[in-house]
Amino acid sequence: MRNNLAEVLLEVRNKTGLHMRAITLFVKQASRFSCKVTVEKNGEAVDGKSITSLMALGAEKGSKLRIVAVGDGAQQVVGKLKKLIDDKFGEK
Amino acid sequence: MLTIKGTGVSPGIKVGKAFLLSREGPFIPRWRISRGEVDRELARFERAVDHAKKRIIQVKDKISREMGERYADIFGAHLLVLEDISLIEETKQQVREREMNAEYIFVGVLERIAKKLSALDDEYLGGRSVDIRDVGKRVLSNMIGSKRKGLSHIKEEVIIVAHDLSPSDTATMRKETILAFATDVGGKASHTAIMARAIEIPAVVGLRNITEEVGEDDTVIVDGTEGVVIINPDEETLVKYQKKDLELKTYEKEFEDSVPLPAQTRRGHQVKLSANIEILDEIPLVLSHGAAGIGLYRTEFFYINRQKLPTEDEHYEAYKSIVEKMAPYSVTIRTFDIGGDKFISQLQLPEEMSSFRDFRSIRSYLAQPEILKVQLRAILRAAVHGELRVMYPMISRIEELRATKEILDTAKDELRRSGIRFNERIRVGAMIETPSAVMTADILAKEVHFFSIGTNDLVQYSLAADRVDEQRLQPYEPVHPGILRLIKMVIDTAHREKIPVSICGEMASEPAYIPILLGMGLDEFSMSAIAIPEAKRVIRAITMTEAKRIARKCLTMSTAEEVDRYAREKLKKIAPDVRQYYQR
Repeated sequence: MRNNLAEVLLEVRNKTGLHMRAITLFVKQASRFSCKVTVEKNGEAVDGKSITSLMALGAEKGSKLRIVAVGDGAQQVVGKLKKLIDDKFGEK
Repeated sequence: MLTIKGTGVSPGIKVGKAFLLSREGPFIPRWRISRGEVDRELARFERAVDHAKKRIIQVKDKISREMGERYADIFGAHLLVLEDISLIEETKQQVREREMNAEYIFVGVLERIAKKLSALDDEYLGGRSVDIRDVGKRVLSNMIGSKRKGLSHIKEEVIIVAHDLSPSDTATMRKETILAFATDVGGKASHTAIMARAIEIPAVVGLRNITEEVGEDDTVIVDGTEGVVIINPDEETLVKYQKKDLELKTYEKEFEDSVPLPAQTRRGHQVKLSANIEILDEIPLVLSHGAAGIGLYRTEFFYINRQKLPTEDEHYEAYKSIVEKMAPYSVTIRTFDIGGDKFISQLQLPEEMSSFRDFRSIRSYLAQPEILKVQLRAILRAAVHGELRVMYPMISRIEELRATKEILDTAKDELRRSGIRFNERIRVGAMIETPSAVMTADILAKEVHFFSIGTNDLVQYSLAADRVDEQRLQPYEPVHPGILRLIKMVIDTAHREKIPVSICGEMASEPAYIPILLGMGLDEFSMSAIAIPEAKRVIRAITMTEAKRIARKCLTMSTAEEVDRYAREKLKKIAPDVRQYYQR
């Protein structure tokens, strides 16, 4: 069952933060998995598959996020999402 | 009780219940559904979302093909918005719970998200609320546009209270349910004003915050003559207004006597008094008010609120019908002037007309000549049935006029080759609405049969003012010395070149300004039909000598205010019974 729950703490490091392009990639990645994905910033938690919620979260460079996944593939999705953010969404 | 002062743009008094239109975007209809209808409503919503997705995919593919994938990124985001649980699922959930129509619920959910984004500190993400609304619009247009619902859903008689009314709002109204209009913004030349006069209902615009002050179902008095709106009036006020309403109607009656009389001065100088119209429904009104023809037939209505372009036959049938009904008088059609409307972004236009959002009228013709050609072919054909003339808006260069002539010639050639009957010698005019057209009137005059001065735009472009935001513009600006001189110049030049001139702006219907225009030698006055009896009364009360003297005097004055004051004093002497039917 441990496989069904995963979480990670990280910092947004790309210059423009979680903007449209980044959020789009994030949501697309998260939506590949059936598990529930939540993104938390300063105690505010939103659905990680909802583009509008993530936009409204307003995560800029330096924001500390907590990503939690519950359900099938929780480990994988958190890993993938962490990689996206750590790779600065492929931005230079 | 609360009294708000605005600008009365269509006379009359009406008392009724307020119907509040949502401020954002086009009007969203609202109705209850029964529990049994929920599934059907959800299916309707899903279809609209699917359809919007398909459209976005098409646009995305097209953009990535033509401009590169990078530019199509944003549409990927738009697609995700349409799959967003907090938008789509939330909407469905609320439709089930609240048992209301899906578009109404959807807009509520959408606006909450958009507002949340706008409130962000981040300027970029805040600006993305535009994207959310844009996506929403696609879905909405699938639900509203095709079915032409909107205001047509109103069943009882109401007073429409709105921030502003766009052509797409008024196009869907059922006239018999609308008692009056009251709006936050707008001026005499705004769409709301034109529409109100067309269907003869009172309207007050420029009320600033009426939408905030009025609650749904409040009782409201709209006094379009004084330009006042009263919310929840007391008994005494109600009685006072009922009395006033009666007086006004008696006054109108007096003018009916002048309907069959010719528009000529006391010593017999004849001018033409014609009507501005927008829709076919106005013809009975035009005839009953004694207009001698149509001086401006606006044709934008053919293009808005629809998915496909109107066909040539659609145009033809409408034009033929108007020209036959107006016989023996002439009808002047203005080719469509889409970009002139501030609300263009809210309008649903056929897809083929996309470039019309970027260009104003004449320039858009040149970008998409095919659309103009279809209209011209219809005009040429309809001109067989009566005196039909055509004019082009917003001409500012001779090249533009020549380009339209080329399109007209092509249309003629095609008709000739197909053996379709048309009027070979149709009369063509140019609208003079820009300072550059005035300054080059002598050049333009050599290539047209007549001029028509659009004073609303001429004032706007000469004084660098916004047409809708009339707060920056004084109501008497049409008699700004600069404008008067421009008008004088056009008339003099045209007469030197032996072509007639008309004015089809609101200025032509202002009783106090009629002597000035008459004195400058104007040949035709075209105005809202309801203003014609009063205008005729002024013309019949004056002599050309007096009018010329007034015009000369006005042209020496240095401010618009001075001219206005003088013109009003003169009007009182010339036609004391004309009681400023229109409030300025």
